[in-house]
Amino acid sequence: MAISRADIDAILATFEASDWRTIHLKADGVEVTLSKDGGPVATPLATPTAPVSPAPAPSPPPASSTVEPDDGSLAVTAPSLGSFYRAPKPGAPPFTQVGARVAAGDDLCLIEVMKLFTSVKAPHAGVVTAILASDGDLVEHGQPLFRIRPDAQGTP
Amino acid sequence: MSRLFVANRGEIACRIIAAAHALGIETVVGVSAADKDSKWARAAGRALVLGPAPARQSYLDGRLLQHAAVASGCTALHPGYGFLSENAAFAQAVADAGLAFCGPTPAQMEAVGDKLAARALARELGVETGQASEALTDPETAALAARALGYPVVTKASAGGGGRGMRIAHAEADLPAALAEARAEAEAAFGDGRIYLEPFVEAARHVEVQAFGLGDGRVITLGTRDCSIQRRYQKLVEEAPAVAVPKAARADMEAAAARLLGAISYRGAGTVEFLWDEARGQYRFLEVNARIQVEHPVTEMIWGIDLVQWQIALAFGRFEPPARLIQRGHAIEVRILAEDEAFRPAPGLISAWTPPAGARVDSGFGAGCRVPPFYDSMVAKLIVAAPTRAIAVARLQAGLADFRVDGIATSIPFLRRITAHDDFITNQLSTRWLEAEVIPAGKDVA
Repeated sequence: MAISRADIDAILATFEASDWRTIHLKADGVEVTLSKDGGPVATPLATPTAPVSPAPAPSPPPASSTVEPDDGSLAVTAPSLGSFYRAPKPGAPPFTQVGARVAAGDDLCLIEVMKLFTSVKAPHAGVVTAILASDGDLVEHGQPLFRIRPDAQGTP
Repeated sequence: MSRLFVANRGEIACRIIAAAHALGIETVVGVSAADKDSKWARAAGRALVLGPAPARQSYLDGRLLQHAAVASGCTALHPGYGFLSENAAFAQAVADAGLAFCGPTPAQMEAVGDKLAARALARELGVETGQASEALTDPETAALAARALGYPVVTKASAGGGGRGMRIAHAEADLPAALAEARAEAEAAFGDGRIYLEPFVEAARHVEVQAFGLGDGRVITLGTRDCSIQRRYQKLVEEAPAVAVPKAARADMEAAAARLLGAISYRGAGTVEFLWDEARGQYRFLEVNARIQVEHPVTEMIWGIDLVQWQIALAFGRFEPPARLIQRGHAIEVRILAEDEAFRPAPGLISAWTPPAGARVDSGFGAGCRVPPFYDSMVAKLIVAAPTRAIAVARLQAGLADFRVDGIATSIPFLRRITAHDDFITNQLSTRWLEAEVIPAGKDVA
């Protein structure tokens, strides 16, 4: 059994809710190191560059999250190739913008494939720190679209 | 500037990209996440990641391919072989999106794609189709039909080929199981469980005619190929021309192919397949493959042409039939698969790749490339040409001896064994030969 996106999300949530400072997990070719200090953690098994470093998986999840080393934000990627739309229809206000708070499951954008629209939802709650594609852009599967900094839950 | 979308992977994607570039046409290729760093992704002008590795979410998703083609400014699409290449609904959707399709029209695809329909058309045009039943509905009708044809009989799926839906019944007792298995397999593979029966010919050769239709009723035929060396109905060695078949019969098959495809004003590259019954000295029509085929290079080698360039030029309205076409010599192709000696797929990282000098190698892989586990196992085609078959065989043996691949298991050792066999050297072959004479008992587990 490979480690899925949901598993990583669950690990993240557990970690965030805990008062642990670091966590290191290694299973099925995936290594996960989490730290609340904001920097890389020196543990013998850890990959020093990125706090979460999934090994190349044979089948990447539809919208994966990887922690950016700089601000602890997670990238939300395109589930398939398609055209990127920030609003539900032309002229309507965008689903979200930089600095906005989102809850898990909130719509972030639409991906259109031959007039068929699929919404991309926030995988976790947090603040949108970057929008990486422009309205109408042709985006590819796996391309980062948003960065969301997760809420720091459970910290005093 | 003209731009072509390549809706395939592996060696045929590389082949299409090179052919387009040679014609001054730009290329965009749609790839899966697993093929992001592939040779064809790098060779194309632009590579777009369609979706994750599984083909149904990438190479088999017609909507993604169309969207990628239109959004990247392409005006034509080449489907290659396999995947959606013979899917009439996809061809229609591509046309509806305003793109030229490198292949036949959807109506032509439907006319020849269904085997029973193609047989009926062939019969109307006086092409020898041999005996066959109609589509069978129940075991009683099947038993009557099989008795009329005479055992052994073989089941065939009306909706498709590739060996799927094919079962041999040697006696009436075998028939119900053969039918049930064939129907289930055809239903799963094509979503269409219609099955019919044909007499099973023990010692037959698979002979096919390469054709190229101009879409206006004119059809260029480019001789024959012999693809009798098969394992589980999958071709492994192909040669051109089919020198084991008398010239007069080959000429008849070419004329029949031209008549059949001319009658529907067929557009683009297509192959008409026949079964050559050596004992009776008769041929009969099998089916039409409405696309470029894996084995097209052997025809290119003996005619000195580039069929993929022809396909692309035709789609862009630039095709000019050559004033003179001359066939010379003999060519043989072998398919190199990433498989171990028990025919199990062997994906992995290729650490060394040394193809033989002086031979044509069509491949999407090389040293440092990873063969993903999600797709067809073919990693290369080795093609040799020479003035005579004997010299071509010698060159093939030398080429296979020199071809070195490390890191993954390949079928090269198996192909060395095939090509060193006396029956291959003397061309005493049939479609049963490989399984009966070369594959040792107990090894064929896959």
